[in-house]
Amino acid sequence: MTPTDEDRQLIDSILAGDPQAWEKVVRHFSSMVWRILLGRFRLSQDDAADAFQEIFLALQKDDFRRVRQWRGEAPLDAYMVVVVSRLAQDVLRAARRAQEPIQDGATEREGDGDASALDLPDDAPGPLAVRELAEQRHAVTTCRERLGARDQELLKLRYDQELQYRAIAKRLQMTVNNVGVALGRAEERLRQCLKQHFRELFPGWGDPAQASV
Amino acid sequence: MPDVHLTDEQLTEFRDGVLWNPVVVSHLRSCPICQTRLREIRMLRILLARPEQKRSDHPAAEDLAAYLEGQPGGMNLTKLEAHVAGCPQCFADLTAIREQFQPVPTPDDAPPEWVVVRAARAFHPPETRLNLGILLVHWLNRVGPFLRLIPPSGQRASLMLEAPPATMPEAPLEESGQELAFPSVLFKMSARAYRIERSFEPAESHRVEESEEAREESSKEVEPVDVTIGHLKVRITPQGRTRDQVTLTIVVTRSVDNAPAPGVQLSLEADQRTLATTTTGDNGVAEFPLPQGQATLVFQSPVRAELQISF
Repeated sequence: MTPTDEDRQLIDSILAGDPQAWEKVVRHFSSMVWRILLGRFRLSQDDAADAFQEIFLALQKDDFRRVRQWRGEAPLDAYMVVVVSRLAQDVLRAARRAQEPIQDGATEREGDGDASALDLPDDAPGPLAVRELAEQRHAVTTCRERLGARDQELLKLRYDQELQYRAIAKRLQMTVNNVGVALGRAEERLRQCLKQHFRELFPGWGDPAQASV
Repeated sequence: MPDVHLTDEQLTEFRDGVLWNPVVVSHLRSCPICQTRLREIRMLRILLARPEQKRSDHPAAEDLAAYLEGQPGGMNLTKLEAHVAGCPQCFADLTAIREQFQPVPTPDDAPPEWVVVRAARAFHPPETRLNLGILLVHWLNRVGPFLRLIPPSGQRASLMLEAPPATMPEAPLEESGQELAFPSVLFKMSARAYRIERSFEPAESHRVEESEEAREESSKEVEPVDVTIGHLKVRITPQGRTRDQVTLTIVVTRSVDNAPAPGVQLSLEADQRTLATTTTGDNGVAEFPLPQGQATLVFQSPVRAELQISF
């Protein structure tokens, strides 16, 4: 969970113009990119192959801006997941726009990614992402209501009123240590509820035997 | 992988910054199971957080990654959580990180080999800034032209000096009483990722002539082959020196702290022959006699360093 010297050396090599380092990066992240394209964006194999190429080209754009922006504070793998997800969204949005007739008043834009495409009025995330967040938040709300009164009170103070442990302890006449313990248990009961009643929304949760880091 | 794991309470307290001790941190570094659990309860905290009322800019990609991967130093967690709680896009990014580390990859997760090879071959090396060569040409009133060459660390860089001997008389220049044309200087880089930036600060008594060809050459994209990137015709007054008294003085300094870089090997080459080889001393300085005709100064440093050349 920490950046490695190897990560830094790899990035330095790419920025020094080493094609072998680039190939190493492509191979290292190929499965991750592929999984995002097929899993999150539900692309066909053919479309994913095109998007795969576009993403790695986009990583090189603006003098490798996205590669240079890695400060080494987060692991490179995790950073690249976010970057690739954002680039994939840009690439797919551009492809979608390329298939649509140009609207009057459409303008060029410079967005988070490579906005070579024309802007559309709505640059919101895709419906899948919107639905995923909404459904998961709804599931959490449902499960919160099924918890005991004490757990609900704790979660309310912590998350709705955004109180620190010390303030919660004072309010509930507990020790600060006990707040941590009680909150941990309340959240664990919440997770159990989510896994039991909304498993399809939380795939892989509570399944540490498959952990592969 | 450890047999004993952190409790839910410990993980919650660690996530909330209440529990921070070396044992917990050490365990988390080595235990994929607890790392996965920590990601889950961080995602849960997002789902429990109140979404921000007014949409703010997306957090930097690295801040999102650091939030989920345990290095959230220096960022406003409450603000980030409130943003993600109301931003499907950023939430999906965090979900993608969690999923990336969660399941065991299967062969179906890998793209076809031709897709990978195509992307690997489409590599266009960086062109500017830190890892690229920067060439500055300054004029120093009495010393002559002063060149500054900054190749990337570990990269082989070369500077070609074209010095037609006929333009430099043997007699001391004070006696000749005239300003002489200094030989043309060609800059040639063997590392292919250079973009050259030049600034000229000529003193009033000196003149720099840059050919149109050179100007065009330096402004266009450098192809991944050896290329001549500058062609300067400069004039100097070598202050009473004869040709054999003119030497190339090379000072190598480390870019990181501007300290002298001793032990850097330099050589002068011409017609695929090595004319002279030297190594910088403790003060980072090396000297060569001014070469006859055309010669190439070859320089390779294990650290990123700056090369300053004066005549």
